[in-house]
Amino acid sequence: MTNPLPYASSLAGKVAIVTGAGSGIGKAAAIELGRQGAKVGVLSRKADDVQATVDEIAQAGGEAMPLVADVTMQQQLEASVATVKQAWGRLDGLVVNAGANGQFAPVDDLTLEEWNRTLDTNLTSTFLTTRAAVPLMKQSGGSIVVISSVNGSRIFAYSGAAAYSTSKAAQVAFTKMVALELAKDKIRVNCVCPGAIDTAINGKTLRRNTDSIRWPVEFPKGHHMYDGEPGSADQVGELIAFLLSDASDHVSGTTVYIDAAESLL
Amino acid sequence: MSESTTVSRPPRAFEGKVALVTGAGSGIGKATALELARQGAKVAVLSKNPDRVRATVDAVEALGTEALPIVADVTSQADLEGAVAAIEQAWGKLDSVVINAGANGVWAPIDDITLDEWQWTIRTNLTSTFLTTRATVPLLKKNDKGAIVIVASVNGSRIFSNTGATAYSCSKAGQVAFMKMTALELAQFQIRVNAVCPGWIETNIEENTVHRNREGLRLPVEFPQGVHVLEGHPGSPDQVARVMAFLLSDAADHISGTEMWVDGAESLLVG
Repeated sequence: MTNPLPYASSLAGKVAIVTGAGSGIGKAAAIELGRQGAKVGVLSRKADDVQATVDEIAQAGGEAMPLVADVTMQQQLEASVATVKQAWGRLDGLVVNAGANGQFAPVDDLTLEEWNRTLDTNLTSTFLTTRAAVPLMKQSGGSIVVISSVNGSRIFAYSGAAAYSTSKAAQVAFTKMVALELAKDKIRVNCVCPGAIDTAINGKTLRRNTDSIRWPVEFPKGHHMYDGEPGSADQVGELIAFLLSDASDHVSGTTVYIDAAESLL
Repeated sequence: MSESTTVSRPPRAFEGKVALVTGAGSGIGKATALELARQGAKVAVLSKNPDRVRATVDAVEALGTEALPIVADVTSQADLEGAVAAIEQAWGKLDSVVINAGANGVWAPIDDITLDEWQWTIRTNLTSTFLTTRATVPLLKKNDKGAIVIVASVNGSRIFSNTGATAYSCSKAGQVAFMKMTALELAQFQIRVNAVCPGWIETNIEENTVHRNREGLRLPVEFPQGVHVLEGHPGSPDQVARVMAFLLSDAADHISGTEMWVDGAESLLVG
């Protein structure tokens, strides 16, 4: 990333927590925030991944703290926020990114447990992370960015991903509800909807009997038409940093699609 | 990643870039022209009003960059094509287009507003968006990439309660659809197209609004604590301009086909 910042970064001295910061978009966001001077709480379930992100931020001259926690566990999230409060005394930014594709399967094949797991991992975690962070953020205001998806808002053709898409759609509604609710506390809440991004998320998708339900669609070659390839996590990280900065201080309650217009096709 | 500190980025994102801003004589357009100039862009300053063009040009030049005054009517295809020719002659290229010119027009009951008034509003806001895009795309295509930002509104996308503003809201909704159509069409030319939807912003747009027979037209919803939920007051043109600059910059190079509401969440209350 060598792009000059198109705004005066205001993240120096600010504190942010990024969930799912061990890989992909979360890691890229954590590194970008660190680069712009924020102190970053790096949260993920996996201690090794957390440490790798923390190390990368530190090597670039930034300040980061490891937070090993499961975003479906209220107590672990509250403990993480308490740790940040103790170390840095404030919280200005929150990136609600942790999530997974989960099990893709026909709707009459998907089990209740699989459905619940996807909604817990993507949606209830969004509630719990926000719930845990907001008391500290109310001290001085701040900005929350929720990472949703083009799935559930603009793309519905991934048959079998009903649980995933539903969880992602609900994150958009959650964003708008809490954007209004938290406005009086000077906390902005926005939502980023990435399209295909070059991360490891698809490698972790569980697929069962999805071939039979997928409506056949053939895209012309080069269907990632703008870049010629999927987006990078760094590109999403730059958007997240902008939404956390004061340059976006009148932006709240909006979704931003970051997919090079692919979801329009 | 070879950069090692937060301060190693080149300081100005629009160094060497050329931008056209329509409606640059006041409000959001002027603020955007100045924000881009502050970040190093050469700015073509387009407005119908020669005095306002001159004032913005002076302000751009005071920031140490170049400005090109263009007095033109955005409903005139010939004017816009002349403007693009002037930009090409002066600077040889075009990177960024801000489609901002527009007006509220006449706000009146649907059986009161005349066909001429309707057409004036659609032409001023929506057809001008088409014409500006049409005139600038050939020059944008000559670059390796380009970006367009259209200034739409919360009206027509999230707010439908300004009863009487039907023509205005339809023109603004049309701009959002136009943005998505052209984002897809122009992707193959590496031209990104996005829209901002501002809420209440402190500008003089109301000066030229004609309100006629709207008494009792709007359902009397009351907001005892006001509607400016985030900041307690309307937004500033500069706040919108900063979002415009982000969307036009290379930092947004994977963002195309999206609208962004810039309203401090007001439209989630008002609707």
